[in-house]
Amino acid sequence: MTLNVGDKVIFKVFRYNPEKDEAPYFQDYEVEIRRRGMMVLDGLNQIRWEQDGTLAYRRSCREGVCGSDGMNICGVNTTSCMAHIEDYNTTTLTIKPLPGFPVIKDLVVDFTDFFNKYFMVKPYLIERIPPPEKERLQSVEDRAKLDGLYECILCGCCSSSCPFYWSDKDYLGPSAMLNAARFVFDSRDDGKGERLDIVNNKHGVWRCHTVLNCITACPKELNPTKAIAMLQHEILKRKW
Amino acid sequence: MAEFMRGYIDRYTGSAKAGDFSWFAQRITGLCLILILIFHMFINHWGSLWPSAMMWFMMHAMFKKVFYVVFALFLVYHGMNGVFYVFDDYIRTAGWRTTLKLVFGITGVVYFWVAFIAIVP
Ligand code: SF4
Repeated sequence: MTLNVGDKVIFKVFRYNPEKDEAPYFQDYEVEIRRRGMMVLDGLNQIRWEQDGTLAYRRSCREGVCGSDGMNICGVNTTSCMAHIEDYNTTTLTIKPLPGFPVIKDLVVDFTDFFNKYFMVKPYLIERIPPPEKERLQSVEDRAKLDGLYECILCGCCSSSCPFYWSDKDYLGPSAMLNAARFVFDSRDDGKGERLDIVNNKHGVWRCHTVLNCITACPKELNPTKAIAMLQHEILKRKW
Repeated sequence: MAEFMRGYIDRYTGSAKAGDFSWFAQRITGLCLILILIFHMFINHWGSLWPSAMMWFMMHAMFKKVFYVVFALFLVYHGMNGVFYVFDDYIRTAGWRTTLKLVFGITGVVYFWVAFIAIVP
């Protein structure tokens, strides 16, 4: 669907203020297309800055790097700064907070559990030898093994789209495990064993039932399911 | 470890919490069951398609018994393990989960025993 400058679209936005509202509700806002290729985040900014300053949502870099504006747009999780309004082929966009996370207010959700699970997999280089004087060298081939793993922006879209992340509160989730894989397959890292011990858990890699929602949801086009399968393979290889 | 991480460490440590064996065995038994089932169809229902296999099987009663005991064992393990997965995924209360696993586990053992005494004598 082509939207021209001056066209109007409706943003049906999830609203909930736990301090005031008894239950969540949807509020409609009219957003004007002011330039071609407008993003959903531009629309939300227009609402907040010109119509309703009480609307709460997170944003920062507005170019798909900070990962703070993950939300559910027309049923699919993504970051609003990477979602073109036009691509939804509709004049009414339903915008909800990321499913499976507790809502703090409107589109802002509580990421505490998500980040604790991320920290749990030790997302940093572990070295058993003293650090070198200069940078830690890595061959081009070893560096290439990290492609598709290091680009994660921790937006939470993948974990929030996974039904097992909703149902099992202890499940580490696709994001934490993709970040575990990012270090497990890093040639400079010595912490492979301890990380595999953590994800080798019935709430870790073995809880993934390859629903594949995480792949659809990831705005960076990463493949957390594949990362989980790589970890499973590594664990089985180590054991048998 | 920071105070806010309290409670997280225990959840993901300890070998008893792994689950790699049941995951792996579920896939291996699943694969074996497909092969066993195909073979079972050849020797019992589609005998005309592979007569030599059917004849060999009929003449080696001991092998036939072992084959069907293994079939029953894999079937029970795969079925029960699958049901346990469903309980882990959908039953949120630990007490209910354990109770149901116990009931289904005992049913599985009884089922295998019934199959065993029907096959072996
Ligand atoms: S894997 Fe993709 S969807 Fe998941 S947190 Fe990272 S960037 Fe977001």
